[in-house]
Amino acid sequence: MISFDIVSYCSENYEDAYNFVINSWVNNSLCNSISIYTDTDIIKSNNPKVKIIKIFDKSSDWLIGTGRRIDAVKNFSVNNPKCPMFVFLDIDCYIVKPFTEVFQVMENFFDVAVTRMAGRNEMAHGTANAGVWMLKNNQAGFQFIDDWQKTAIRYKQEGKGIKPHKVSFAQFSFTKVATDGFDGRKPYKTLILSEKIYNNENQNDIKWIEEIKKYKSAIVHFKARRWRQPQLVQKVFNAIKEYQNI
Amino acid sequence: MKKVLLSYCSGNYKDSFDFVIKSWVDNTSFDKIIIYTDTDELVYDDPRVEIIKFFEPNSSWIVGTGRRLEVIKDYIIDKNNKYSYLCFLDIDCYITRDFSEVFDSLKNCFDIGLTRLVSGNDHAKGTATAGVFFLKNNTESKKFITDWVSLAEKFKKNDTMLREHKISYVQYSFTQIAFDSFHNLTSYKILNLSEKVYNSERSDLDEWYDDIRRFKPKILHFKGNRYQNKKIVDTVFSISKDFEKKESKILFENNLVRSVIEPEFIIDKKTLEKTLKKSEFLKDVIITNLIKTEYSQILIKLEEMINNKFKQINLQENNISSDEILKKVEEMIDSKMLESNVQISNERTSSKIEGMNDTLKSQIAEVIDDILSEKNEFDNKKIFNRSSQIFLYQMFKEKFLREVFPSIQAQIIKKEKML
Repeated sequence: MISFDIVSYCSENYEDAYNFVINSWVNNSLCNSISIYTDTDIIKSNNPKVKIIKIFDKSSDWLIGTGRRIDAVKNFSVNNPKCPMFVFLDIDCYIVKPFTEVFQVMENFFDVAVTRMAGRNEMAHGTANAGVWMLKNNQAGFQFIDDWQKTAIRYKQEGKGIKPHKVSFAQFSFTKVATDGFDGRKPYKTLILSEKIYNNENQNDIKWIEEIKKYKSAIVHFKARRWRQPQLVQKVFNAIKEYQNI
Repeated sequence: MKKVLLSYCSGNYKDSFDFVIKSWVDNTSFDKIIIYTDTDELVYDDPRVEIIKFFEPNSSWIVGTGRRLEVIKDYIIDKNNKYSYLCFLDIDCYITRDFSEVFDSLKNCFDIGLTRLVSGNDHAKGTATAGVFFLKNNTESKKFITDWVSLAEKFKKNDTMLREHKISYVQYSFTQIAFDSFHNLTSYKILNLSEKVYNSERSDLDEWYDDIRRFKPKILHFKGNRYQNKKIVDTVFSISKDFEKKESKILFENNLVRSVIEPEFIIDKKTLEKTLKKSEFLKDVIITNLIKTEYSQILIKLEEMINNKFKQINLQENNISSDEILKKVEEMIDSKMLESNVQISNERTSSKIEGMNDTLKSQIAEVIDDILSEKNEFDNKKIFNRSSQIFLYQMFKEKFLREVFPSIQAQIIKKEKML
């Protein structure tokens, strides 16, 4: 049985997203444990699988929040040397069904698995998604995080990806290091995953729901606060029901 | 494990065959290189190369591109040939280095490996390339081929994508099947490979040269008859001539470093021999498992030292910054390494060295000077031994600074916060 953890970052102003997804993470993922890094004391869990780790000062600034995921995963990697693999998930990602097959593939050959590098999603400006990715917690994996952090700092200093709610410096730098791994320029090896299955997101709600059904997505990304739209949420849940327990 | 390289070459591409075939024979470990053709003019004197005249002569591009599919179908499905892994290459693909690691990556979880599905390359119009792909011999990869053949036939029947020298129905059907598979809509599994490495091609020549410099491709795709242009060929070869040397050095160092820092990573003997053989710089250096042992011991000592140090120092009282502590830890590691009695043995020479009791830094400086100024006076064994020591020391130092220190720093900051 593959053992893996889930790591995420949730700022106080996203507490409702945490409440929306956490049961799906606990019940549907088969993970070993869940570490939620945060900047607040109001996020709570009674589930022994879920650890709430407050290491940041409170901030609702999107730009700060987007960069904190790097610090969170680095902290996790350093402090959990026995965890063999983990997935980083944005706090608005709903887990529909287990995706342990990704870790099985990684176990044999790859160090990092990313989505949306094959997506040609225009809104994403050619970037891979830094909101859903898996990492082997070995030295190569640590180097990936380290390279990402260094590149992110450089991009931020250069002003690349600092416009709020656009593709961020963290995303651009993530894409750079993931691509370097894919092109054999780094010791870590990048596996490219289908975003339709492991990170289903779409600007268009109708297409989004159609694709969730078609591809039987394991992870559904409720971008742009979609979890706050009860009717849309219900439609997504209806789509999920069609394949969830088959 | 039988590995086969398969291709199709029509008579009017004979010059391309002549251009690439030596690279296919010399730079790969394929057991068989099989070329289907429509001519009697292709000849190459090597037992691994088999030329099969299968078609009537025809120089039409669109016929040729369709024949690729017939070749694949004939070899894989109709004749049901025996092989473990197969690579199909267009006849204008020049191989710079062995790429058998692709088959390792396919081994457990994938049936087909292909390139350009993720490139966003404008000239490719969103298509994966059907000119370079890799297959594992199993039912699933055969299903992939039969699905591809039937979709291509459907496109052809509907007159879809039949324009000369444009992206063909063969390419579009290949891409559609590949995308379906990538998104788990088929039973066969697709692995995306980097086209920068395994299918280097660019419309713009300067961009292509730049790519070759940056990505050190293993397969160079001389599209648009570029192999006929001496200036282009000379430029490409001048860029790529040192790949193998650079590659083996990087491969060796990566393997060595991984074997040291990842307890579960073991270099298999063949890889070790291969990397050792190829690496001029380090060809006689070190048995990695011994380094691993040494390194683990030093890591344990290091951890002890850090813990002791934290017990000794009261950060608040002494008001010492994390930078200062880090510096102290670095100094301690340095001195510990100078004290350490490193023993290295090498199975190949059966020699055993005990040393480094004295001040290692000055000894190393002395040895470097000696080697540089009076290299000939050293016997080979001595040079080897001392080179090993230098290498070992440098590697430890580098690894500590690069890999271990960030986590030490994180621990220090954490402890500072706690205090």
